[in-house]
Amino acid sequence: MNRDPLPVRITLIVLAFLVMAVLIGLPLVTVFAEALAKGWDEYVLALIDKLTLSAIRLTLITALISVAINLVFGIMAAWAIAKYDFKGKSFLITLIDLPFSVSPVIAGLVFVLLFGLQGWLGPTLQGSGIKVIFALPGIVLATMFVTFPFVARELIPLMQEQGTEDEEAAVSLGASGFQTFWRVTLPNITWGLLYGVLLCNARAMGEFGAVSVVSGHIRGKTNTMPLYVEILYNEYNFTAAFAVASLLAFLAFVTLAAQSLLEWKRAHS
Amino acid sequence: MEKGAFMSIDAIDITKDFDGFVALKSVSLSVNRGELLALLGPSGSGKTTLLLIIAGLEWPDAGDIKIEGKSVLRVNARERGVGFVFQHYALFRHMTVFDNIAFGLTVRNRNSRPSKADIAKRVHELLELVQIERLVRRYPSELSGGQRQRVALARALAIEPIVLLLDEPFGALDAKVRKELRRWLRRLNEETGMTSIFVTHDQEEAMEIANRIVVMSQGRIEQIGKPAEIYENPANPFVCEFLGNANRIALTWTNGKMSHPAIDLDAITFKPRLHGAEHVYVRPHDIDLVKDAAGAGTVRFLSVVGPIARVDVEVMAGEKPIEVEMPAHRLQRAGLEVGVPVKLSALKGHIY
Repeated sequence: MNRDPLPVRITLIVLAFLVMAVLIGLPLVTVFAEALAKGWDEYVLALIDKLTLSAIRLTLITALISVAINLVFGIMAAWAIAKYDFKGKSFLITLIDLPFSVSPVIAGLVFVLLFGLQGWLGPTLQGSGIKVIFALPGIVLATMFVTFPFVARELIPLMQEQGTEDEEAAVSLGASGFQTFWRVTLPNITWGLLYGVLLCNARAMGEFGAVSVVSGHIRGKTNTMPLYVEILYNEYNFTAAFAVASLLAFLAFVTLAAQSLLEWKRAHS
Repeated sequence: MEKGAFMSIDAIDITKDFDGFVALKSVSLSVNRGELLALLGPSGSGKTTLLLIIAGLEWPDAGDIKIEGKSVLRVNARERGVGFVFQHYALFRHMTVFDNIAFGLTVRNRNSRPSKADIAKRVHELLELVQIERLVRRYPSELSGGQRQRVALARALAIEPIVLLLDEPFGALDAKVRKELRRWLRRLNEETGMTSIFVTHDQEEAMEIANRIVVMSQGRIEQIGKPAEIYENPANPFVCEFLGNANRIALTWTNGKMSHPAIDLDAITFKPRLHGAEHVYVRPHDIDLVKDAAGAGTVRFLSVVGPIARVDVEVMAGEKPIEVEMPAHRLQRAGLEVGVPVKLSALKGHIY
């Protein structure tokens, strides 16, 4: 099957494992080791701290809202791109990819410029009592911006490959637009959709840069988990910092496991 | 199924353009009640586009579609009541055979939706009709191509369509299954009287089961007629060459008489207005071969497929050989072998 000499193969494989171990394995181990350095009690105490819980809650709320909205927008965008022909299609695809190539900090800054007190829309919103920057809406917007591509990117190739015949068949059999979507399109893209949601969620919970700019780091109010980790770390509160970080690392493991499961499911469906 | 109120269809001056590619150029066509009609043509001839327009899955730029004399352009595919069978079946892969066939009934609104028991009864009738009762719990991925096509047919029939449209229905199947399903479709049409239109690029398929054939090319209708009619009297060189093989023979004219240096054309009759035509088209079985040391042709290739013998005869070095077909048993009697000199005479030909 492979004609490379055995030593070459072994060297390459060992090197790959070594790099992974140093770059990814070691840091992960360190996170849990540091978190538990002063024992379970300290670890648990750090986690049930009021400010920690507030950061966890904010992260969950942010992820829930932004994933839900990106789910809907992602399906809409993928549907438009995969099933219709229109001018500016490739431009739209580029636009969807933009968050991947733009630094998250810039995304955050853009929202500050738009919605901040000195921004274009800030004063108007301020007048009607709506606060975007240094509040939940800003954090959700920044997270949405950064995580937008995940669902759409996952669905576009899938829907393009499936074409429109199934939908045409459903319509010719008398199904309404909603019935067609719910009973034909959605089941066809289930696994891809879940996969996109999973990645979107992982990124939404872990996002630092964009959220950092718009959040204001108000403890107990606008601190998400990644932001709170940084604050704790800067205050030399290593145990607490790594304890919160360990939750994020744990999330990564869960994501990875779910990802493998979904890939297996998709291959077998 | 009872012989029902099946419908006539008229396509009137249908024109369709896809970003500069003209798929249909002012195509008009009348389909009679109960007819089994073939739309025959090479790929890109517009036949599938015409089918989609009749189904309401595509819209014409100009023209009208009438069902029983009433325009249906404003009626969308959902309400048109047309049964459509897709080329690649388009079965719902996450549904069982039962759910696929029941789909058209279960999406009806509450007032017109049959009860669960009635749906099950109907599905089983259809499974029986397409002869796949034992596969009712399977998923599409567990079926062969022929079985999938049967499910697709049953699913389209479940909604009791007023007309059945099939896009290359048997194209992806192997020869034996294809033959079986062709016969099945013709029987269905004869027994139910359901107006049916199918698209195909396979002239044999069209000839075998259609009542009438519409030959299309480059967005236009070239000829409409009964299979034998079209075969015997093709309206133009395209139809002649597309339906069955034809040898294109270049003509020389002297004193109002046409001739070819190597082929005797005396038996071919033609109207005076065709005088001066450049070519005559002669079907392979309309050429007579006789072993003749003075003959201008040489047998280059022989093959026998069942009862038919095919002979390629070279009449001029470097030119396309003339194809001849004859009953296999005549081959030996005529003493034909590769390298033998022969005399050719055309019995019948078409001049345009």
